[in-house]
Amino acid sequence: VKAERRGISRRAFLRLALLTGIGAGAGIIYKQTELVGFDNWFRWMTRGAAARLLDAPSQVALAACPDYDSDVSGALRGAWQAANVPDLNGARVVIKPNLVDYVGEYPSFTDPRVVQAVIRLVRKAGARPVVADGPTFRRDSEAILNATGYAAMLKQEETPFVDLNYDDLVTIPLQGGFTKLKSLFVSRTIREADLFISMPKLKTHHWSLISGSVKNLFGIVPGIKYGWPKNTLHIQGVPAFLAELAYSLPTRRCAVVDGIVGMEGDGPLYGAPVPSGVLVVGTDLLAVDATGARLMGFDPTQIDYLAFAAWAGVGAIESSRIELVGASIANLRRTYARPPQM
Amino acid sequence: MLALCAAGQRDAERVRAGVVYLFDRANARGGWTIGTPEMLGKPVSATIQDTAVALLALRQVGIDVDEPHVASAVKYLADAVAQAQTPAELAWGAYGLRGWGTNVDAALSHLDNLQAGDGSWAASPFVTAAALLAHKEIQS
Repeated sequence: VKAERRGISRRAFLRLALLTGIGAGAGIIYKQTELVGFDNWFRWMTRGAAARLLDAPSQVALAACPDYDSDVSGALRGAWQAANVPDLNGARVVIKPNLVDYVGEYPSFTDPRVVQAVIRLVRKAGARPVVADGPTFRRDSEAILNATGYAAMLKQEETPFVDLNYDDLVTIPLQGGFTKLKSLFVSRTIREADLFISMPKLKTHHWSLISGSVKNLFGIVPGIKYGWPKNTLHIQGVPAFLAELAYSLPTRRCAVVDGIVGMEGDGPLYGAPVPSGVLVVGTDLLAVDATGARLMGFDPTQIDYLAFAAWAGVGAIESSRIELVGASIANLRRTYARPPQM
Repeated sequence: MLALCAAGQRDAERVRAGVVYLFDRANARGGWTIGTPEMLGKPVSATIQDTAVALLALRQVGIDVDEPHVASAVKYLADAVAQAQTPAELAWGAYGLRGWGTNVDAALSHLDNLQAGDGSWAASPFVTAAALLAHKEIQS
């Protein structure tokens, strides 16, 4: 009525209000996305929306396995089949455990008995496995292999180890645009693999709350190029760089999480053991990590790197977009203590 | 620091800053790790290789062995090398201890026993280079 008194029709007033609202919204979005660029933000947003609308649910398999002395291979085999992992016949398979470091009694690394079970499983399927990692803190992987029991296991399985910190380098394009880097040096072994199996420990992490199959990708970054502890890449922003690694990894991938004994509290190195009795297998690394978070009693949508990568369409984290098969998550869920810094 | 000293720039400002930085980042129990001696309030263990490289640099600068950071680092490294089992640890340990008055004959002997049939150590050009450097100093 007030507008009409001034000579502007109600319709014109509403149009003006609508245009002002759209303009203000666009301005806010532009300002908020200035850091990464509106074009990047728009690309990620539309890709994420399309994935949520069109992609089939990601399948994640759970297997109960009470301890390392029980039938780890049997539990793994069931979950592996349920997760629809690609055919392995003749494939070059890189198995990448989390060997971040060895610190006394802390269960910070993927147990070699789970890796051993994966080696046997993929070899039986006709694949040629190698185990590979590029530890973050120490330059001498052999010392870690000895201390963690990997050296003896690998010898028994006659399986080579590739130190990703010192392997021959190739470059891969970074296609996600999540960081300022356009390309990344990676190990030739990773680039030439037919399947990459990320094998994290189910544990907490003081920067990202959990250390899952995506965070485990940091180990493929070669120390000989980026130094130790690979801070050249940390400073790109942990969620952004993890999203980029998950998006641009040039190899088919899957994950097998060692949650038989997890680690809570002061991860990634100094936490306390949690008998979780679970293995998690899947080909969508984000969905695997989101399931891992739920197994630890955390909400994956509240974890920065998962929320960001899922929003950008790198994978699925919502329970409505993850199809769980195998053992019941309700029976396997525990309440992990958060890192004291978080 | 090593490169600047090798280029005759031992008195350069960045070298002096490097000494201050290394002393600031020294582990309380001796030696150095990849970066800060603590991570979010937790001590980070020193490593053989990081300590060895730091000691090599400090030796090139001319820091005295009695300097407390150096003395505790040399002690840490000597103790760690006595327990070392891998070619990389033995090579870097012996290399880093050179010139600080510590006998590394046992480490070098252990290292020699780990040399592969093809002449390498650990089939790695990096470890083999470190092993050769460790031997070179003893011979010179």
